[in-house]
Formats: sequence, structure tokens, C-alpha cells
Amino acid sequence: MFLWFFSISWFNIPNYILPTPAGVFKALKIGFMGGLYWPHLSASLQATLYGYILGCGSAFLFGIFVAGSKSFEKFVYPYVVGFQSMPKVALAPLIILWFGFGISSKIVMVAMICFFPVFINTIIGIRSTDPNLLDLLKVFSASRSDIFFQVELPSASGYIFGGLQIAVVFGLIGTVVSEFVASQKGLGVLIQASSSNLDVAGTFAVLIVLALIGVLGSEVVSFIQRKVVFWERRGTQTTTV
Amino acid sequence: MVMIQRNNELMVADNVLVIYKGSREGIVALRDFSVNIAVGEFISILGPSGCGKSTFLKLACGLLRPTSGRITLDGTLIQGPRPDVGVVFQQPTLLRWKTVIDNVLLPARILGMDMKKSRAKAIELLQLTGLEEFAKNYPSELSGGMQQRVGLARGLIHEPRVVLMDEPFGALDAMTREYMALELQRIWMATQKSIIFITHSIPEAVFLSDRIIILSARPGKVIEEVRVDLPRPRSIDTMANHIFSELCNRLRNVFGSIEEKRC
Repeated sequence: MFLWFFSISWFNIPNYILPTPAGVFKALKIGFMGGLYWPHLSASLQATLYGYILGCGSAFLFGIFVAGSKSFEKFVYPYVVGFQSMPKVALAPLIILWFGFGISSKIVMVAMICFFPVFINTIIGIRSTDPNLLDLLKVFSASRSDIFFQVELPSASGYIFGGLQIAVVFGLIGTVVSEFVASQKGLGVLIQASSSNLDVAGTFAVLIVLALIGVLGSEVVSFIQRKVVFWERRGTQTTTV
Repeated sequence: MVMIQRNNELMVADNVLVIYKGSREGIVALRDFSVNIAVGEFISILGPSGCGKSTFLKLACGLLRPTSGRITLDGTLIQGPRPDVGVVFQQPTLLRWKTVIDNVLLPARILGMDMKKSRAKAIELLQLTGLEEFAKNYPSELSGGMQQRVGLARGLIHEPRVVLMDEPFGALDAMTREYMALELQRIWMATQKSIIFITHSIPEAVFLSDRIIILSARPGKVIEEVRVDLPRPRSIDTMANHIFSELCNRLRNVFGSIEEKRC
């Protein structure tokens, strides 16, 4: 913060290149107090949330199927990877064409972006189950569901949450990208509006809001992760093979 | 051929052949493999790497079927996994998200045993293995030796007819290994289970077993069976006994000849 303020006064940077902290703060204050930001914030958050749930949920289910079946994997995997390789920005106009200008296209975009990390991590997680554990359960003729719920799913949960964390950040980007292309409400719209008005302070302000949301979302997932996957703690690696 | 089961025969392998189908001809893991294990016996299986010890373990668990020959437990063919077998692996492979006592109870839960009785049994086993204070702890809070003791308790919870142990102390340091051997003897004498113990360590085998079965290099075949006639309970002092050293030497010689043949 200090560096920011300092470098502006020292180098006499004009306001349209790098705004002062005071300017950004003012923009934030006006935006929130004055009520400008709230509807846009709400729109972006809603789209992100629904898209996240849709994307991660479907990725989780798909991941389970693919991990469980080699033939299903051969069938589905190339499509998923191919799809992932397509830049979503390029797809955005298509999505809007199909789903309209409303929140649905944003949700679809977010879901698509969130899908891959959770999908891959679910598969890797399930496949990482200790084979000795699987053997042990086979000796007792454990049912498929026992094997899955007692052993495979808990083993995979660390990985799955890793995917969920990545998806939070990606999802937010997806929302903003979607809003850039065409939307009436949302933080992306705000960014575009203030850019075109050369209101750099305003742009910065919204970017900061976005960053904060990202951090917050990530922290929430982290928190849940620590509660659910309670046995994985950093720094306490004993000889637990 | 009629199989007459003598009263104290527990596990019988008769002329077993196991071929793993690989890309070419297949790997013969065990050939002409025959062994007899009596009830309540402590047997060690000793052999060089790749001699088929793990294959035998899988056969005994029912995870693998012989290509030809038979293997029976209590007179019935082992045709698939069966609940009268207990297993202890080299790595404890405990569920890190469950407490020690829940880990011990895992087989009981999966086999659908009565949980109330099993819980009482689990506490007994934890007492036997010296872990009763740690019943509610998580595996990450235990040392390697303690985790392996949990593995041992888990191998006994469902009252198996035989316990298979695949180099269970292999991952432990030397001192813990010695301690665990003493512990295992104590537990074995208390529970009177039949144990099939796979190991690389000659002194460990001599210390623990009633009989030692020596496998050749691949394809695995029983080369020799050695009776260990040392009195029980054996202690660290037993290891200084001259019979102990003679047996160890004899076994080393057998291994030496195996190694020569391999080269």
C-alpha cells in the first residue's frame, strides 16, 4: 500500500494510468454506499455460485463414473480434454446465442470452467486409493458401495477439495468473462463501464472487490476442507503410508 | 486322489501351479508347490525375492486361484475371498480418517458382524496389543510400530482360522522389529491362532516359528522344511542359544545354494 502511494507521488504518475489509493478508496465508498455496486455484485455472485454448484457437481459425478469404468473413460475422456482445450472466451458468444443474455449463459460458462479441475481431481483421487486397502476389502468380499464409501471416497476427498479450490477462482473469471462479452449486470459490466469512461480508479475498485471475493470463496472452501478432510494436516507427516 | 483331512490340518496346498498370464508365455510363480499347515502352528515362509511368497499369500486369501492344483482351508477349497482368513500387510494401511478402534472394527463392519460383540472384542484386542489407551486416537498420531499393532488387531477381530502376515515388520526399524517379534509371540501364545508369516529375515523366522518353509527362486517350490525345536516362550536370550545359531547357519547355507543356482 505504502509503495503504491509513494510511487505515485514520487513519479508523478497521472491519474489515468495508476490511480491513488485514496482515489480507489473513494470509488469503493461511493460504489457501495451509493448503492451502485450492490446489484452488480449480487448478479455476479449468483451466477458464480449456481455455475459453481452445477459445474462441480456434475464433474464430481462424471469423475466417479469414469474412475470406475475403463470403457467409460475411453469413451468420455477425449471429449472432455478436447473441450477443455477450447478457449472459453471464444465459446462465450456461442453460449449467449444459445442461452440468451440473462443469467443462464453466465451459469453455463461458469459451470464449464469449473468442470475440468474437479473432474480430473476426482478421478486422480479415486485412483490414488491405496491398493493394499482395496485388497484388504476384497478379502472380506466387501460390496462395491462399501469399497466406494468407506475407502475410495475418503481417500479422494483431499484431491477433490483441491479441485474445488481451483474451481472457485476459475469460476469467478468465467463470470467476468461472460459479462464482458454481453451482459447488463455484473462486476464485469462495471469494469467495462469504468474502463470506457477512463475511470481507472473505478476499475481498480471493482478489481479489488473481485479479488476479495476470490479470496473469500477460497477461504470458505478451505475451511470446509479442513473440517471434512480433517486428517490431512500440513506439517504433520508421520510414517503414515 | 482322495484328500484325507487329519484332524489338526488347517491349510493344505497340493501340487499348486500358478502362472500369471503376461504378454508372452506367462510367468510361472509357483510350481509343484505343496505344503501342510497344522492348526495353531506358527509357520514362516522364507525365500528370496520373487520366489512366489506374495503369490502364495494371494492364494491363501482367495484373491487368486491356482492355475492347477488345489489349496484348501479346513478341508474346503479356497475358491474366493473368505472371512476365515486374516491378513496383515507390510504397510499398516489404516484408514486415516477413522480412529484406532474403528480401524480395528473395519472387517467386522464389512462382514456384518454384531457390532456390540465386536466392539468388546476390539477393546480386548487393543488391550492385548497394548494400545487400549489409544483407542480414540487417529493413525497419524501413532508411531509406525503402533500402527502395525493396530493392523495386527484388525487381522484378528473377525476370529479368522489363520492369519497371514506379509513381512509385517519389514517397514520398521531394527529395534522395533525385535520388540514386535516378542510382542507377536506373546499375542500368538495368548490367542493360539495359526499364523503364516512371510519374511526375509532368517533370525526373525527362527525366533518366531514352529516350522520354516523355504521356497526356491522363481518358479517357487518348497526346497526344505525346517523344524524349530526351541522351547517357548522364546526371549532375546534364546537368540544366543547355540541351536538358534545352528539353525540360522543351516538356513543361510540353503539360501547360499539358491543364490548360486540363480547365478
